[in-house]
Amino acid sequence: MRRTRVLTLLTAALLLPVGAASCGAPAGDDDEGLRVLSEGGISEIAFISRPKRTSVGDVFQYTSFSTDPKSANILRMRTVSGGGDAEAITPFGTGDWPAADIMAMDVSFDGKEIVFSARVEGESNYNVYRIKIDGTNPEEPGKKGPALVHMGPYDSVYPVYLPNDRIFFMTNETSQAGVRQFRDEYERGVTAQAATIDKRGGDLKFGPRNLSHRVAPTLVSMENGRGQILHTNWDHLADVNEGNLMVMNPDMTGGAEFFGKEGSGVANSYLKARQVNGRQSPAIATARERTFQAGAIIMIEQGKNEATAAAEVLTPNVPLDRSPSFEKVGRYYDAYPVTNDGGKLTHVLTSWANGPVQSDVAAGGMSEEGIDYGEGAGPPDFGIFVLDPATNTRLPIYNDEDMWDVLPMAINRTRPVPTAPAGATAETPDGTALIGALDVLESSLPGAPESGVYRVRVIEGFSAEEGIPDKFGLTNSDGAILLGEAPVVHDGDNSFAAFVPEERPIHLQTLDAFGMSSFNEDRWFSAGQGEQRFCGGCHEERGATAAAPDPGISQAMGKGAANLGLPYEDRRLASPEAADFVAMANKLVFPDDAAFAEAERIRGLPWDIALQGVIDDAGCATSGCHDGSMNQGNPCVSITNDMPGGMTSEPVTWCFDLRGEKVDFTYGMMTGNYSRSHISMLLMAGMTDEPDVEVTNLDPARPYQAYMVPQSARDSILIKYLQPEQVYPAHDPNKLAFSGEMKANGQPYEAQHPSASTPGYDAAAHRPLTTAEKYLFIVAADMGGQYYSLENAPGQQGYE
Amino acid sequence: MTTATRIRACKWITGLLIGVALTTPDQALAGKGASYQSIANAIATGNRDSIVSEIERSETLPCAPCIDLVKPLIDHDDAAVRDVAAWWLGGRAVRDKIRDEMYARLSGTDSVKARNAAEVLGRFGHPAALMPLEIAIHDDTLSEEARAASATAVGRIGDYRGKAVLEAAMTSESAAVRQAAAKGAREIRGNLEGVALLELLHDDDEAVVREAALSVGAVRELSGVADLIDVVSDVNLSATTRKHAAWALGKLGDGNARDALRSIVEGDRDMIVRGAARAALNTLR
Repeated sequence: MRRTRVLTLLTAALLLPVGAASCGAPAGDDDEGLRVLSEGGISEIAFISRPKRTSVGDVFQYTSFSTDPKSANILRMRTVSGGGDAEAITPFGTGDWPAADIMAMDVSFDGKEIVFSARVEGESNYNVYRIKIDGTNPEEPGKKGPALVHMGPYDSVYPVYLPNDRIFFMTNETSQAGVRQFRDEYERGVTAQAATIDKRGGDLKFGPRNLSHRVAPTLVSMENGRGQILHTNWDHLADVNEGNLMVMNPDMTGGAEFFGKEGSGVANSYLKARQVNGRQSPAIATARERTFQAGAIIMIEQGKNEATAAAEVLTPNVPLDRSPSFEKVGRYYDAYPVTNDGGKLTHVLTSWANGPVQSDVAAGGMSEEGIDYGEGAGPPDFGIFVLDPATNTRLPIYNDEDMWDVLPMAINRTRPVPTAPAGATAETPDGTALIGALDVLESSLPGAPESGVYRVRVIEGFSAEEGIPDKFGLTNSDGAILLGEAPVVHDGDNSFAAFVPEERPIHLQTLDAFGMSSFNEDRWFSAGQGEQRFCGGCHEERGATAAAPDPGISQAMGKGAANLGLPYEDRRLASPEAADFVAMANKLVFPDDAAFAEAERIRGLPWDIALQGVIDDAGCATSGCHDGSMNQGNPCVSITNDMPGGMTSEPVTWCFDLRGEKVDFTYGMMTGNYSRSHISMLLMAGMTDEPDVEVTNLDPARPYQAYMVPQSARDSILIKYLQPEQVYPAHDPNKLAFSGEMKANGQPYEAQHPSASTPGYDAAAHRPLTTAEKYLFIVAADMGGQYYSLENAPGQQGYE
Repeated sequence: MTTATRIRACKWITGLLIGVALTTPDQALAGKGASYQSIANAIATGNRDSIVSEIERSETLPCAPCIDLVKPLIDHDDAAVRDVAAWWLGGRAVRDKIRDEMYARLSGTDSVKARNAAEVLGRFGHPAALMPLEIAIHDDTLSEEARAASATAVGRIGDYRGKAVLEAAMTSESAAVRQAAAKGAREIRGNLEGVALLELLHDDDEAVVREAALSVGAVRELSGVADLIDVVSDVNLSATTRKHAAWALGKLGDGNARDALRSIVEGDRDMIVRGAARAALNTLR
């Protein structure tokens, strides 16, 4: 009964008059909206009409396909006298043409042609096509139908026109055969990455990759006329999970932040940005999921850099999160600016749907909050409207109630062709790009270290597609390869320079005197072939790239950039079981020591080999020590979680245990099959921020702590016990990282662990770690605390 | 260099190093925020998006009873729900128990359950599953769908040792299995060779030919030019198949395909095939 009543209310709500129109008709009785467009210099528009659906809640979802109840097509509509009737540009679903779904499009600079991404019925992937606005083939004059630009067993989506007859698009194809594209660890989609191609299908080029998706690009022109590809970048590193706006050059170099980070944001994700002028860009602000890729319209004022960027919400009543919206408020799918003669925004040409526009409500049933949505409201119905942002009134233009009418754009009018700046390049060893900074102590951001930075650690990321069956361990961190550590030169400047693998995602850490990360960049970035990313980019003032300095003026380049290049096929150590990881750590810390000249280079740190070997050799897990028994050296916890109906689950007890035996940690089944030492070190990291979970110390005087904090050796209790020694600028074993710092029991951390005063200490069985052994654990923590690397990945051939 | 220039020029990299730890509104933490009740409610909606997103949010939730909620979803009607359930279970210690159950399903007689088992094992991604999947591929008591799903799972796992499994599957009497094997071949990590695919370019089943053409192009099997020319020129084949063959020829880049592709551009009856051939011509050496 209750379900029926709620459904009735919802249905009634959705049927309230909001200006929605009947099927395939102009969405109103008058032409006010068309008049506004006409006055804004838009004589004709085109938009995509595609079937309604409920399967695109996630803003990074780009493969949702439907041709039910009819094919998608691109429609055009005149705004001037005689306008209001929509006619199809594309032929899908008519004559011999199969039905298709169309997911995105762009209009050429002369306004006469459209590039779009479509998947035809019976096929598996979205391809890129071009078509003239009169419906003819650009490559076969006079013949009706589109020209195929790019295809393959991959999705090619979000095409955008570039200068010089090129097209930018996103694809899940990789540049090399036999190399699988990254999958996002979280939503498991094959990631969409940047590529460009000649508009006739030749000269395919792949851009530097993010470890997660890039979607919804557009070409904008900065104030100085430089063309930039503005797009949504899924920033997803460990706990970070945001869709922020970034820019890159048309040649896919020079990736830089644009909006959303540095505290400038107003929502979790921003997408489908457009451009009003050189300073203002409208975009959709919303949650990452459940909102049908729709949300509030915001206007971004670019500022000099991302930190000074700001946004005004033009539709203040629209939720910025994933909660259902409201009657007559709804959500907006896109925002195409309409300007006056002075180039100022007057209206927004947009797609809007009334009601909740939220996937829970669309499907019906019981929401997570316990709200009964009955049989469901069905998918939202996006139609074309003109929004007056000053009054928040909408003027209807077009709506087909069976379809989503989305992504309207002006056609048949020219727009300026921006310049196509190329990224700076440098002479680099094969397969590498150059990164660096003139002064690592200079920053526009708060909290940067003002002194004491001695190295920059460069870490490459990879996803589970490379043969990791499960997660990388009890951590949210992705796969990590240590590319190396570039020295910071303190001789006239504070510079560093390093050659790094091109086109692969990396992130950086500055290292203190003990080799611990003092700042961890929790965003991936990458550089193109031979690109020089030596300053001039992410946090510079916008348009300042032309002033990027010559790296040659830095002391670091004068001494020679550190070569951290690593061929793709060499990323896995050939025989990790036989490798001497301690010698490798020594070589890393003391590169000039001839004793370690023959040691291999560290790549990944396989927990069961590299770290467990040290634990076992030092006797850490022997009987009476960290052997999992309830003794003085092993804190224990009892873990429970709240159950429905006020019940509590059976408690599970875990005691600190550094043995290497792999076990199934059964509480909540959250950990998988890892060694006791890994579970012990990362247990608290896995528990952090979970609701309804209670962790109780069996002995409050000996609390269970976060022994390894992913990506922060400095915050890891294990590292505090180990007492790292100063290694930079010179090794001084008497200078300890945590001398004077207090343990949980109020006593200071000892100079070494274990020592004669350590309970259970047996000089014949136990010893403190060496400098290099400590460094291994520092690197392991700072890289993310992974159990798996390529070296012990079950899916890497030859590993058993 | 002036001080001002220097400071400005250096901001990007030091900004990167800082890591932008400032919290934005509505920050979503990956894999966090769900509860037993929220999962139960999401499942009750029956909505794929709701179920998927809530299970994603419970990625690291320590909740043993949640297993009883999620495990039945591996037999859900919707493939996306089955997939997220397998992903969630695959990260938990119960994985080995479920893996063993899936192995048992593969050797059972319920083809729907066997299909779902293959999907789960593909999602788990462990190469240890290759052998039971191989056996299932050749098990005539299972439906074609289940056997094809097993071949798909081998490709999904992507382990190089699966290449031989798929090459054996390419000789199956089942067209669905051959098609899945041909498709899976391009999913194998490090696979740069596809000689076994060439025979499938002349398969009686056009869907097999289509997938084989795509895989020959994807793995850059350079000896496939002549066979692909046969396919792209065969007017008895559908436009889709000829289009895929044209794409593959472009991917191989061999100039020996130029004349054939020009002929297609000038004379094929289908505009999309002509377009694919035109694009391929632009990629030849």
